[in-house]
Amino acid sequence: MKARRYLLAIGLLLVLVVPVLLTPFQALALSRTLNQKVMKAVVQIFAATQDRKGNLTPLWSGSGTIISADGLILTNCHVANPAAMWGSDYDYDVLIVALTTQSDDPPTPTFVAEVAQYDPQLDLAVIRLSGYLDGSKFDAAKLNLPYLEMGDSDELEIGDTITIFGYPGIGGETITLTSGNVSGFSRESGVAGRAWIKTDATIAGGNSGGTAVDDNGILMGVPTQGGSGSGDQIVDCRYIADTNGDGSIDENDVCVPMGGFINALRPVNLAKPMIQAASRGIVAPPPIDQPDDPKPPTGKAAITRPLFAPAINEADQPVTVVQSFPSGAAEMYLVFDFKNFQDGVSWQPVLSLDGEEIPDIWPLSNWGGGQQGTWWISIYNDPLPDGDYEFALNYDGQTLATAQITVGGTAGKAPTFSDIVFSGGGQEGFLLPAGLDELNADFAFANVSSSTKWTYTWYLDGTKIDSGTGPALKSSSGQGYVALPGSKVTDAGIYRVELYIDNVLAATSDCVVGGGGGGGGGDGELFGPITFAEDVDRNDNPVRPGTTFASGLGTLVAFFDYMGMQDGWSWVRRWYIDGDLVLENEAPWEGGEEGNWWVSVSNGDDALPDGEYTLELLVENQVVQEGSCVIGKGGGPVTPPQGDGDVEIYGQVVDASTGRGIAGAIFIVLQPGITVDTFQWTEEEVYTYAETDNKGNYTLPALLTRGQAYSMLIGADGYEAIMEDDILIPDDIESPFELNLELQKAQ
Amino acid sequence: MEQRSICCVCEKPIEGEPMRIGNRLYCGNDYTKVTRNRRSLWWASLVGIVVLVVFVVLATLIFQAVYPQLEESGAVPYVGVIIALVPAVIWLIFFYLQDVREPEPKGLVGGVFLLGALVAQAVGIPLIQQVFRTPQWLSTSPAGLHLLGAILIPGFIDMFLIYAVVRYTVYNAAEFDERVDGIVYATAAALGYATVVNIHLVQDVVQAGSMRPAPVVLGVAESTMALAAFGGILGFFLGRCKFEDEPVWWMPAGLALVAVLDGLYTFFLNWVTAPTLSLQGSTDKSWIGLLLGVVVAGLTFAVLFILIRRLGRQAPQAGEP
Amino acid sequence: MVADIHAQAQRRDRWVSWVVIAVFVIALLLGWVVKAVAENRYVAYSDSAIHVRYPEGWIKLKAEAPAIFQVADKPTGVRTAMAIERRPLPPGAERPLALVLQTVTMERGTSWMAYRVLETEEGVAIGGQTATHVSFAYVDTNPNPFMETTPVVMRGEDYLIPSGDQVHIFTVTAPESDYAQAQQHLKDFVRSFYK
Repeated sequence: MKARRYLLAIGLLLVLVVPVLLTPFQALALSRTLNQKVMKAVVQIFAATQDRKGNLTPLWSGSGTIISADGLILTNCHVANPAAMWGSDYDYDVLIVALTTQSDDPPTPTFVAEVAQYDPQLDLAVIRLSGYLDGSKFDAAKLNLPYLEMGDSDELEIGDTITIFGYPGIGGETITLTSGNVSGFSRESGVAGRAWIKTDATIAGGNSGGTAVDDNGILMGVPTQGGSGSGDQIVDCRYIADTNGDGSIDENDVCVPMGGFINALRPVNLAKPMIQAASRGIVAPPPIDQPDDPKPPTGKAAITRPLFAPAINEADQPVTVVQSFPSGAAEMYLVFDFKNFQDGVSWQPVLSLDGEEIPDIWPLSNWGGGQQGTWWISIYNDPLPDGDYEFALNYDGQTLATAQITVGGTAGKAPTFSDIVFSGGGQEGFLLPAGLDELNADFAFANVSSSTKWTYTWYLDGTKIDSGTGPALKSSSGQGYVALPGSKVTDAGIYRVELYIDNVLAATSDCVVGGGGGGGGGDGELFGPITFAEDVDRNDNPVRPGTTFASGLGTLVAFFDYMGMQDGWSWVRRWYIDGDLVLENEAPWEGGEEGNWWVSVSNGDDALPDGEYTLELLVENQVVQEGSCVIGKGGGPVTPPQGDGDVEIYGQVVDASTGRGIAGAIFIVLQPGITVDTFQWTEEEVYTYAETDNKGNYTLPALLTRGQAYSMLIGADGYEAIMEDDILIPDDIESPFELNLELQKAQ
Repeated sequence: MEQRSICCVCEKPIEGEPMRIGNRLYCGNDYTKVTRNRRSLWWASLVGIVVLVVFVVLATLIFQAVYPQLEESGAVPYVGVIIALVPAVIWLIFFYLQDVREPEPKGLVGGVFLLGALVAQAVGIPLIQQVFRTPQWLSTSPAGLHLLGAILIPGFIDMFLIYAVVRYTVYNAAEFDERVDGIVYATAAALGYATVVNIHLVQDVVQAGSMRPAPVVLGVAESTMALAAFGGILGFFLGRCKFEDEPVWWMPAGLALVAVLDGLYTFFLNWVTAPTLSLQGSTDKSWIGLLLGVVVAGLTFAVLFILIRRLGRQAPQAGEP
Repeated sequence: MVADIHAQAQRRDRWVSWVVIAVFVIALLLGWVVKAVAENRYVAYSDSAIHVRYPEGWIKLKAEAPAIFQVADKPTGVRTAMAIERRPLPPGAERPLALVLQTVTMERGTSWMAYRVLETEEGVAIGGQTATHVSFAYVDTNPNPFMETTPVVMRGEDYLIPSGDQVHIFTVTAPESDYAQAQQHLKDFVRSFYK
C-alpha cells in the first residue's frame, strides 16, 4: 500500500518537474539557421553572350549579395560592368543571376539583370533584376526575395569575426563559406571613410563581389579581387571561354581574371550612395563635363615629397609631419605629391614591415585621382605593431617612390609644429578669395626653446615664391604664424607653406586662393547660388527654373556661375535626396576661370522620385556652395521597399512530431491594431507575409518595429493553425531575429 | 411439478434458493461472483496508469538524450512503432496480471484486443479520415461545430466500434459471467483500437525518419489512456446491460454518453495543447496533454470503482433471502 | 419459466442492439450535416459597385486594374484564386465580346507561361444571365524561387457576362488537383453576384 503511494507520488513529481529541466534539449542549432538565411541572399552572377539562336555562352562569373526584397544586388564593378574598367573587350549580352536554393547544390540560374549603378574606382556596382530567365515578366515589388541588411562598416573593430560567402568558380560549384577575423583597415584619399578592410580569412578569387557578414548576419563588406587596367598586370587571368567566336579557346580570346586569393574587402559604407541611387531608380549621370579623352600627360609620372603624418584634417592636409611614430600609435598617413598620372592606370601602394611584404593592404586597382595633386594613404591597427615600415608606391608597374618610417620607442620631446590654418582678408580656412593683402599661415608649436632654429618656404603651384627664417619663439608652446606679403599673393592657385625645424620638414599645408577680385557670388565665393530648372536650352540657359517642381519630372538641372576657378582644381558635386547621399562625382575642373556651369540628375525614362533635392559643390574638399529644391510633395522620406521597421524576423516552421520542416506554410503578420478576431481576411489588413521553402525556412520581407505589438497567424495544409495576438517586439531585440515554430498535425 | 431454476450463468440447475437480480436467476456461487467487488482490478488500473506515466517520462528522457544516435542509425522508424505499441500492451498486461482470482481466458482477452485493432484499421480510421475527412475541416471550424463534429464523428465512430467488438463476440460467451467482465473486455478492445490509432499518429515519424520524442511519446500515451478510460465506461454499461434488468434505452444512452465524453475530451485536449506563439517560439504543450490523459483515466476508473462497489452493496448477499 | 426469462433476456438484448445501431446511424447522418455546414461557410462582401459571396477563410486581395475584386485561398504560392474584371465593350464592333476575349487572351499569352485556351462556349446560362464560358490552362512557374516544386499546371475558366456597355469577366484559376472544387466555387461566386 505504502509502496504504491510512493510510486504514485514519484510519478507525478516527475511529470511536473521534468519539463522544466528538458527545455535546454529543445534548443535548435541557431547558427545553422542563420547560415541558411544568409546563404539565400548570396547569388552567383554570370555574364554571357547570346548568339542568334538564343544560345548562351558564359564568359565569366562572380558573386553578389541581394540587398533588397525587390531585387537589387551588390557586387563588384568588374563582375557587372568590366567594360567600364577595362574597355569594350569586356562587353557581354546578358547578365544572369543564379540563386542559392540548397547549400549542397550548384546555384539555380533564375533571373536576368541589368546594371543600375557602378563605380570603376571603387570597383563596386549595383545590379537590378529585370526578368525571369525563361522570359516571363515579373513584378519586382512582389518578388519578396531574402536580402541582407547592410551594417555600418565603420563600426567594425580589429578582431571582429567576419564570414565570407561566395561562389569561387564558374564550373558548377556550390556555395562556399570562409571565416576569419578583421585584421586591419586602410584608407585612401578620395574615399570617404575606410577604403579597405583587411581580414586574415583566405578567400578564393571567385568570391569577388560576394558577401562578407558579421556574426549577426549583417552585410559589412564586399570581397574585392584586385584587378588592373592594363592587361598584363592581371593576376591569374585565364582563357576559359571562346569570346571571339573563332571556335577555339586560346590567347585570341579575352581572358578572365580568376584565381589568386583575396584578403581585402570593400566596406559596404562605400556602396551606400550608389545603393540609394539605385533604389530610387536614379541613373548615373553621363560624364557631361569631362572631355571624352583627357589629354595624356606630357611628362613622366612622378611622385615627390612623401611625408608621414599621424592625422589628416578636414581639408585633407597633414596635421603635422613626423619622422617616426611612438609605440602604440594606431594610425599612420603617408602624404605625397604626384604629377603626370593618368586615370585607369594600375596603381598599388605596397607595404613591407621589417623587410617582409604584407600582401594586399591596398589591392591592385585603377588610379582615379586625376593628373596631378596631393594624395594620401593610411593604415590603421590597434595598435600598429612596432617595426620598420617601408612603403613602395607603384604606378603602372614601376616603383615611383619609397618611404620609410619606424614605429617604436616612446614619444619624444622634440619640438613640433602642427595644425596649420590659413587666414587672410578676414577669412580663415583652406579656401580663400583673391585680392588679399597678405596670406597668413597660423600654426601651433610645442616643445620649442629659444634656440630652436626654424625656417619656412612658400610655393605657388609648385614654384617657390618666398622663404625665410622664422623669428625666435618666445615660449615653449603656443601659436605662431608666417605671413606671405600681399605683393606675392597675386595669382589664383594653390599656395603651400612648408615649415622646417633644423632643416627637417616639421609641418606643411596647402590652401586654395581664388583668382579675380570679388569672386562669383560676392564674398569671394567661387560658385554663385544654385538655380534649379527643368531643362536647359541650346544656349545653356535654364528652362522653367523654380524651387518646387511637380511630380513626374524626368531631369533636374542645376545652374550656377563661377569666378576664380582654376583648371586642374578638383571639384566634387554631391546630390542628396531627403538627406540621403545619392550621387557623388569628382573631376578636375576644366571650365576655366569664370563663367556658367550646369549639372543634372535624371532617372532615365522614368520620373525622378519625389523628395527634397540638395546639391553640394566642393572645391579641393571644401563645401563651397549648396542649394535645395523640392520635387512633388517633398514631405517625408521615400519609404524604402523594405517597410519602415527595423527588426528582421526569420526562422523555420517544423512538424511538432517529426521535427521536419514544413514546406509551403504561410506566416502572416497583421497591421498593428488588427487582432485575430477582428481580422476580416483582406490584404490591406496584412502587414507582411511569407511562405516557407522546401526546408520550412522563411524570412519575413518587411521589417517589424521595436516597441510595437503585432498579431500573427501561421498555418499549413493539414496542420492546426497558430494564431496569437499582442506579440510585442521588445526594444532590445536584435536584428535579424530567429523565430522557430512548431505546428501540430490536424486530427 | 416443481421445476428447478437454471442459473443463467453456469446453466446448471440451482441448488437451494435461486438468487435473483432483475429477471435473471443465479446459483449461489455465481451470484457471489457477480456481486463481488474485485478490488484487485481497480488497483490494476491505478497501478497501470502510474506505470504508464513513469514509462512515458523515462522513455521521453531517454529518447531525447540518445536521439542523435538514433537518427543516425536509422532506428527512428522502429522506435516510433515501438512507442505506438508499448503503452497499450503495458496496460493490457497489467490488467491481466491483476485479474488473479478468476482470470478471463488469455485467448479471449487477446482476441478482443486484436479485434479492436482490426476494426480500427479496417473501419474506424478509413471512415473518419477518408469518408468524413475530419482533419481537413474539423479543427478550423468555429467552436460549436468543432465540438459537435468531434462528438458525432470521431466520438460515435470510435465508441460504437469498441462496443460492437465486445457486443458481437464475447458478450454472449460463458466466460462473460460477471459485470466487471464488461469493463475488462471493453477496455481490452479499446486498447487494441488505441494501438492502431497510435500507429497512425506515428506514421509521419516513420516516413520522415525523424522525431521529436516528447510530443510523440506523450501523445501516444494520452490517447491510450483516454480510449481505455472511455472503453471502461462503455464496458460498465455493457456489464450492467447483460446482468441487470435495464430498460431498452440504457445501452444507447451509454454509447451516447461515452461518445459525448470522447468528443468533449478531444475538443478540450485540442484547445489546451494548442501550441502558443511567443518570441521564444512555440511552446510544447504535450506534457499538459499527458496530464489531461492521466486525470481523465484516473477519474474514470475511480468513478467506475465507486459505482461497482455500490452495486455490490445493493444486491442481497448470498445466503440471505 | 427460466427458459422464458432467458429468452426474454435475449430478445431484449437484440432489441437493444438494434436501437444502438440506429442511434449510431443517426449520429453519422448528423455528423455529415455538420461537415456540410462547416465546409460551406461563406463571407459576404458588398460595396458601391458589387456584392458577392466567397468561401470563408479566403483572403481578399488588393484588386489591380482592370480587376475590381480579387480573392484567393492563400496569400501566396500555388493557390485557387477568383477575380472579377470590368472592361468596356468596344463600341461599334461587330462582335464586341469576342474582341474583349481576344484582348484578354493576348494579355495572358504574354505574361502567363504556356497559356492555352482549351474551350470557348457561347450562350451558357448561369445565375439568370447568359455568358460566354472559356476554359484555359497555363503553367505557374512557382513564384517562390526557393521552393523547388515541379512547375504547376494551372486550370481556369472565365464567364464573360455583358452588362450595358461593359462586360464583367469572372475568372477562377486553380491547380489541376483542386480544379473540380474550384469550378463549383466559381459558379457559386457568379450566382451570388447576380442575386
